[in-house]
Amino acid sequence: MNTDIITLFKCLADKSRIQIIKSLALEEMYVERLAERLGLSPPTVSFHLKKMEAAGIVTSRKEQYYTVYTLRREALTFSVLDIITDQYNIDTADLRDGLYRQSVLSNFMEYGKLKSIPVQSKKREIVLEEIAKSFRPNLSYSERDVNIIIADFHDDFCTIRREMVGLGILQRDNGIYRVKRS
Amino acid sequence: MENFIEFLQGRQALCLAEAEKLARDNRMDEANLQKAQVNIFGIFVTVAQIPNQPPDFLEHKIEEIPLAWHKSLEAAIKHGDFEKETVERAKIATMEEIKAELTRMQGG
Repeated sequence: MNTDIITLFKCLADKSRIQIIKSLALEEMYVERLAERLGLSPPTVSFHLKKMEAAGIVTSRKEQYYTVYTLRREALTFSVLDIITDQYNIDTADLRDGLYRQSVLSNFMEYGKLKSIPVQSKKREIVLEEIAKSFRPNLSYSERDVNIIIADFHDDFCTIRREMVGLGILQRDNGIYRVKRS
Repeated sequence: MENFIEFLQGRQALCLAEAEKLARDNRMDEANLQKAQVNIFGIFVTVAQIPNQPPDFLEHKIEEIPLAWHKSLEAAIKHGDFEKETVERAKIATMEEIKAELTRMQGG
């Protein structure tokens, strides 16, 4: 069971998707058939199925003009307690911190680009730490190289570079930059 | 213009009622799509109520406002972001509905 448990539970917490699971438990089906059966529009069913596929609940295969969806029964035959204690055998503060970071990154970054530089310092640090992941820990970088890497995320690479140095995420010595080991 | 605003407010109210019904029925993703439509009808209620509009103001806004959504849709498709793709498609479809109604009311 590799699916993230929160993703799985979020996916299951929807009446339409529960109805889709009930239908797929009887037999595999394609989108249009499910839509007809459940009284939903095909795009809506397709949306739910893609979300369920991402959560590991269903699989799909192409068959002529149709995409046939099959329930992954093994994804649902688990003990909730076992999976929670197995996956979240970590400190709740760490978990909370991880979820906060995830939420900041999804608000400020889209498809690997920084939408805007956060004003709040804690959020800015999270975003800059994410950018720092593009630097290899043991390599030295010239200022030009640093700018090129940062420019992949945001046009204002000067501000970001200075902030990264200011926060100690990047270390500068005689014009040579290194990322701080985490 | 009054008829057009009435149409927008009517559709906005219907979508809001549907969103609330879906939310009560624990269908949050579908409810959120309806809420996206509510917002778009709301934007156009505001736009249509702006006084002293120049000629073709609404037609211009109908073309201008969804440009960013088309860009966002392209990016979502490119990156396989089906959730965003669904939302952007719903927004664009709502705008098409508004455009068609305006054209119909203008006798086009």
